[in-house]
Amino acid sequence: MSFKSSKLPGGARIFYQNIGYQWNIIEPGIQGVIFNASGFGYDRALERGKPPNLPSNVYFDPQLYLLPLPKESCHKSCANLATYPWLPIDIPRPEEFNTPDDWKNNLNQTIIDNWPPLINNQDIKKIVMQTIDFQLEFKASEIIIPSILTNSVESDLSREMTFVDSGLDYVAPKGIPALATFAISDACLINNNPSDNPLLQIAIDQFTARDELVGVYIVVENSRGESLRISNPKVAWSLLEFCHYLNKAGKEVIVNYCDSFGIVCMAAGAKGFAGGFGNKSKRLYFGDYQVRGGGGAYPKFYAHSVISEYLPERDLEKIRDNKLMRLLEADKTPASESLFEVLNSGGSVANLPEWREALGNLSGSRKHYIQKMLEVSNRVNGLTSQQIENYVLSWLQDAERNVVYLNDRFNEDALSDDGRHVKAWRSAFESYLATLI
Amino acid sequence: MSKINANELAKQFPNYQIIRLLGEPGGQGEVFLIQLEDDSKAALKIYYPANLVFRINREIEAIKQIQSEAMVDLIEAGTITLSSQSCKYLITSYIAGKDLRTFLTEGNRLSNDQAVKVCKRISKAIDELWKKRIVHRDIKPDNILLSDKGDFYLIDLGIAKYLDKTTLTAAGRNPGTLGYMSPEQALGYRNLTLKSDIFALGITVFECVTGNHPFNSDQNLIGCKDPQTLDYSQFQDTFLKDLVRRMIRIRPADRPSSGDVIQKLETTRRS
Repeated sequence: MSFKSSKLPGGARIFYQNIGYQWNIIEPGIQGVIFNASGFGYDRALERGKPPNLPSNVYFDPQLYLLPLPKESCHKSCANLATYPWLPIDIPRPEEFNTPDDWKNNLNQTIIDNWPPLINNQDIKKIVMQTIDFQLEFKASEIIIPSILTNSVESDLSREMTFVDSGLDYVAPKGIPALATFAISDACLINNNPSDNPLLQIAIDQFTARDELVGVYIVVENSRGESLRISNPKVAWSLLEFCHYLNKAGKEVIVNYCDSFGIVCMAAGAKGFAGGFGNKSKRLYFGDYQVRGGGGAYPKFYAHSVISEYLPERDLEKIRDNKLMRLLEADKTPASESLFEVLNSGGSVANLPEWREALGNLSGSRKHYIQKMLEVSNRVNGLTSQQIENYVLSWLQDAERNVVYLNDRFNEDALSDDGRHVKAWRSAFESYLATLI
Repeated sequence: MSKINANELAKQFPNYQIIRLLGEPGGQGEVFLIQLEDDSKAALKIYYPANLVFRINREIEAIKQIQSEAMVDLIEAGTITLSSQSCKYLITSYIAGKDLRTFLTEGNRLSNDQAVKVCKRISKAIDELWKKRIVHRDIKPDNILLSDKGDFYLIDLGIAKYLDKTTLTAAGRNPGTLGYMSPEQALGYRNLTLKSDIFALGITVFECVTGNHPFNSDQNLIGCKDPQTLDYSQFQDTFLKDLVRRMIRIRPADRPSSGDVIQKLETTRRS
């Protein structure tokens, strides 16, 4: 079987779009996508075929780190994951039932009865091999060796490394490049500076010691869900330290679920970062996988210069009315040009269909978000390491200054995003620069 | 003087000739020089009965798995009865020579060329072990043999650890030798990598070149005293000095891998 490595010349840095149940949202110009197994089932992955406009870098994440999902509230995602043959759950087939509802009810009950699937140590090798075979069939450009979520500071990563070594034993003799998953809960990173965190140091040691490994695909679980982004400086700093050491050891690092903090990770040596507009693409928080009623989310404008997201009517019109739009001028993208036109001409965003503040009206804000991430990742792509560090430092410091100003200015009638994470990011990056560079 | 009755031992191995006692490594048992049926020499290691059987089995298992020019070959392993007690034994190829501890005690020092050679050969052994995800965990001058032909061999895999096997000791404690343990091993990290062995090799090479332990054999100084500030003046070659300096860095990720060490030495020696 021929195999195309996704390694781009000159260590190109890439933004990857997370793909869940919606496969028609891939933005033109995107260089990489990561299909998330929990967003769709096995049959769909195999039968429907992939969208025609796929970029050259395609990944499939088996998401075994989602096994701790609570089955009662997250049965949809659990059911999707259970359809893949590597998980030891016998799920009912639709053709065995008279109606789709009968099948769904039976499926839900099966999930409730059998979730989480138990993975014994002797099963790991088989499971990992099956996920790899599937990724090859899926024509992924690089293999993601799956692993479980590390959520105990007492872990010595032995079990996680059994997943990694099972994958390497399978792909290395075939010369297939592979990334190892390192899924870690922020609860394991929150209490220590990175150099004083045994678990993080073990992880760095274990991953850098494996010559056969092309790199690491790191996902950080947001265990409390109180923020859409990493808001603890120690968690952010830990991620930067991990990227730094892995890069120094010649490993690729792709970071997922950390929103635009991925750009900071690129300054610390990450090859790329993945994300998307929806909460499930932005962060790894189990609460986001709960099945809910309602009409979805409100559109939001991602303002890169203040690393915050604003509601188009309630926030942006207020900013416009206070003559502060110049703070956001650099954040304009093709998808948000019409929004700026309306705002700058004194009009109401309510009259702009693609940005109107209505539940589920997300196409404009999604496009804008992706376009902005693409623009920034393309921008840093041409820079040297030193230039990226300078760019990121300026960006974070300027953003913090602007956030402080905006919060002060709108003290009485606060904006929906207070940007509190920005200080944590800036602090983490400065700590990183002070200790490792 | 041997604690094992020679006549009793000879009876257990009627096809082999017991020539003489070679030593009592680590107090675990005794090693005898023997002659096999084909007249070749071999080393017979008899473990004292009190030794932990799973440690012995681990050493046997490790030697079985590894093919390395820098390690002894396994010829035979089994159990015999001595003084009514069951004892494990191991027969390996015999390397005529002395361990580096004895070499040092006799007032010798490794030359630059010998230091390069020991670094390269033992790194190759570490590399072979790590391919099987085995960490030796007790590299020190006592566990490296210098053969009469001038080659170096890594011995004693009694506490080598497989990554996927349970630890032999209580949580938070690691076996090994104080003064040679990497900071992470001394801290009780259960999941070590080859970088831990690289650290111990770096300490060993430093000691064998200078005649002094870089941290005065004080494990407490390891991890506290910056390896960059040590006295490397007795190293003739800058590249070897720089390499050893990197090998004993505090953080595993800052140390070279075995592959890096081998490549660095081969590249430098060629140029």
